[in-house]
This record gives sequence, structure tokens and C-alpha cells, in this order.
Amino acid sequence: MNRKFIVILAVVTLFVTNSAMAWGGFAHSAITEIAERNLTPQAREKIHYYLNHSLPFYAIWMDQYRYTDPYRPSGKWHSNWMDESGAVDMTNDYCAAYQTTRIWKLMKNYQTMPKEEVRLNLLYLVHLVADMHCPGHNVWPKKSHPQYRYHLTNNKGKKVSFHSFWDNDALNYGRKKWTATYYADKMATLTPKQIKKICKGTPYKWAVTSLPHAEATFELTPKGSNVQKYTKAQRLEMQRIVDEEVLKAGYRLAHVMNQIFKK
Amino acid sequence: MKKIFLLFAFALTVSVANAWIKQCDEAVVIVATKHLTPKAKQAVESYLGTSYADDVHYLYTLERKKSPKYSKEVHFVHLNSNLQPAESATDDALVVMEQAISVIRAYDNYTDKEVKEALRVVINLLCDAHNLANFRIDGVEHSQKPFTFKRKIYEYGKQKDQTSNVKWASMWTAYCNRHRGFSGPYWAEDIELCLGSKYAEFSQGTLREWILQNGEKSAYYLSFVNPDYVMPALLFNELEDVNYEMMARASFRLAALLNDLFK
Repeated sequence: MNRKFIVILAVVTLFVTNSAMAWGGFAHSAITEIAERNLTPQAREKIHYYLNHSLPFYAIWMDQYRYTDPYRPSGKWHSNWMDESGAVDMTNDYCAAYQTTRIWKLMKNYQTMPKEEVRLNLLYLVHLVADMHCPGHNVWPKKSHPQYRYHLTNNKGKKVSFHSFWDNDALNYGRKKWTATYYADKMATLTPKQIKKICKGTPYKWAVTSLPHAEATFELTPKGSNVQKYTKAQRLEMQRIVDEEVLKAGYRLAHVMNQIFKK
Repeated sequence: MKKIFLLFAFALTVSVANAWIKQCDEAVVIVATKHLTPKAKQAVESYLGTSYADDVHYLYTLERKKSPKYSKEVHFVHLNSNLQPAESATDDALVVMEQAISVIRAYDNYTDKEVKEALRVVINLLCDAHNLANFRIDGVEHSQKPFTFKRKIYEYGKQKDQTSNVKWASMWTAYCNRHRGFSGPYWAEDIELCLGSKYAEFSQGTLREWILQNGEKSAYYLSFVNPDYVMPALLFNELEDVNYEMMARASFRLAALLNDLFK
């Protein structure tokens, strides 16, 4: 009987896994969609010239190309790295906040750069501004902060890493059929004043102000916990954190692009 | 128990017709609709109504019924070793499309129901015939049934030999799946933005020329992608552009065909 059950389960899984949604990609699509909507006409025109696609099309380009030459040096830029004291380490080449700052500065002279170089740097920014807002994308030194290297059970009953949960599952809960457009319609409703406030500061400051959310995730999803057993309030709190970060990332990405292409 | 194993084995080996994902298929129809002449648009809508993006899956819907008119082979184009239409083919995308087109051209001799069905068949199969996995080529044994090859995940370091299995058929669908959260209209907008200027170039020629051109492309890739092949990671990524262009070609050609049928 048990064997029968396992075989049936295998058959069912065969069909089900093809349609499973990965939310890492969804969050990136949503962030770039929010950014796209908040571009100035001038920035949109320039981005189209360099990318020949909308921003969401390249939302996960950096993930796809990180393991291949000549893009492999960028493979470790996807997280904010902390130093021993727990501060965002802007001397670390791998740090997303550092790379975003560096590329933003470099792109101020985009007019004198070869088209391919501008394109590549745009592709990096599209992804890095998003990734530096992921609560699971903060790397503390292993010795002093071992707490995030663990697994938990997600809302589908699957054992996943802490990183994967906050990348893929937290935003997904109860939103299986949402498209990036729908997300932006429903969530990206801030006033110009609120947007201005969000976009104030530098990538470093953005990374620092996102840290409390990253730290809150350890308490919200402790080691070995089962999200299926969480209360509704706990689940809503997880989603509130991720939503807030997705919105900030979307508006800030537009801000970075608008600043680069204002001339 | 034996029956369950047989079911499992069948699920793995069944000849699956390869559409893109729903949103990408719908995008083809949405883009095509934008390029219809007022006359063609009116004629198409008189048969199919104003919302016919779902008709791109018409034959798949029929297949779920007890006695479908065609076998699943109808989604494939069958070519001989000279890459010309195989004479013996009956349930063949090109043959069935040409039959449907003759019905639409001589609409006075047919009932509205018959013309409506012919239109739906053309929409579905023209889309299918732009998915490069839908070509059966004489002498290319691995094109006759589903096959799996390997692709490299990493191109460097200790993990450079790590590979994953890829189904030839699902590879082209996977490129659509990369863009989580894209709806059909969103894909359509991106196709217009990126390749809209190529409408005249892509829609030049006849149905037969288009399909044989696609067949040549498919044959080219099948000449080296086979069950023993290990695809470099960079090539796997770069083929996304080929797939994207095929979606645009399908869209523009569908419009050109309908414009010609109802001129």
C-alpha cells in the first residue's frame, strides 16, 4: 500500500512540479515593474535605447549569467556583506551596496562610455538594487553571526533554507495568481512625497535602514520552525516586511535610473 | 501495482506537443491583433468574438475530449531529410494549416462554424510551428520523440562539470518561465517594444516559406543538440534570444496571414 502511494505521489509530482512558481523571479519582476512605472520619459527612452526591452525583462539577468564568463566576477555581488561589528561593509567588493554605489557613480559618465558597457552596468543595477533589499541577502561573518544558516518548513510543507524562504516563499503567500502588473497596481500606490522620502539617501544608507528588517526575519522564522503552524498575524508580518522592501527597491531603482539619465 | 508503473512510464514517454507557456502563446495572438488591418480585424472578430487569445490552445482543448479530430502529431511539422515537407505526413501542422486556409479562403462554400474552426486551427498551429521543438526531421532520429540532453550550470571553478538535464521540448518553454509574473499582455508589450520595428522583415514571405525557414533553424540546432550533447551555460542563456525572436515572428506572421486571408 505504501509503495503504491509513493508511486502515485511520484506521478502526481511529475505533473505538478512543472507549474510550480519560483518567487525569487516574481519579486524581481514586481520590483522592476514598479521601477518601470516611475521612470521619467527621458530615462525610459534611454533605457530602451540601451536595453531594447522593458526593465522587467532583465530582472533576473544577473542570476542567469552569474556562472558564465565573462560575467562571473559579478556572481558574488548579490548580497550586502557585513563586517565583524555588524555594519554594512563598504570596503568589500562583493557587497551589493558597494557595487550599486560604484556603478551608479560610474554611470554618471554614461555618455562617454561604449554602448555595451552602459548596457551591462544597467543590467547589474536592475538586479543589485533589488537584491540589496532582500531580507535574506545580508551576509554576516560566519563566526559572529551563525544564526541565519539554517532550514525551516515553508507553507507548502517543504524544508527550505532560510535564504530561499525569504527569497521565494514570504512574498508568495496567498498570491499564487498575481502577476507583476497586478502587484504594482495593488501595492505601488505611494504618494510623490512618500516616494521622495524613500529615495532619499545613498545605497549605503538604504542597506543600513533595511537591516532591522533582516534581523527581524530571524525572530519571525526561527530555525526548524514550520510556517504552516504560524498564526495569521505572523504570516502577515512576514509579508509586510517583504512588501515594504519590494516597494522601496522598486522606487529606488527608478530613482537611480532617473538620476543617471537626467542629462 | 504494475498498472501504476505503466502509467508512470507512459507519463514519461508520451509524445507531448510543445506549446510555449500560456502567457507567451496569448502574447502571440495579442501582438498579431495589433497588426491586423481594420478589415481583417472585423472579419476575425465576426467569427471568434473580440477575445480570442485562448484560441491559441484550441487543439489542445479538443485533445482533452474523447475523440479528437487529429492526433497529437498535428502540432509537429514533418520534414524530409532535404528539409522539405514530408509527403506522407497527414496529421502535420503545415498540411492541416494549408487545409484550414483553403476553407477560410473559400468561406462562401462553408458554414460559419467550419470557418471558425479553421481560423482557430490556423492560430494554434502557426504558433506551434514557431516553437523549434515542434519539428520532426527524417534522418534525425532524436527529433522523432522527446529527448533529454545535459547543460552545464557552471563554467568555472570546482563545480565546472556540474550539469543538469534539459528536455529539448521544455527548453524553449523554460525561457518563457524565466519571466515570472509576466502576463500575456505584458509579454505582448515587450515584444512590440523590442522587435515591433521588424514587422515588415519578419512577416515577409508565404506560410510555406516561414515554416521551412523555421525547420532549417530547428535542424541546425538538432544537428548538435542530441541526447549526448552537453550545452555550454552561456549558449543555453543566449538561445533565449532565438526563442524570443520566434515568438515575435509567430506574432507578425499570424497578423500578415490573417490580413492576407481577409484582404
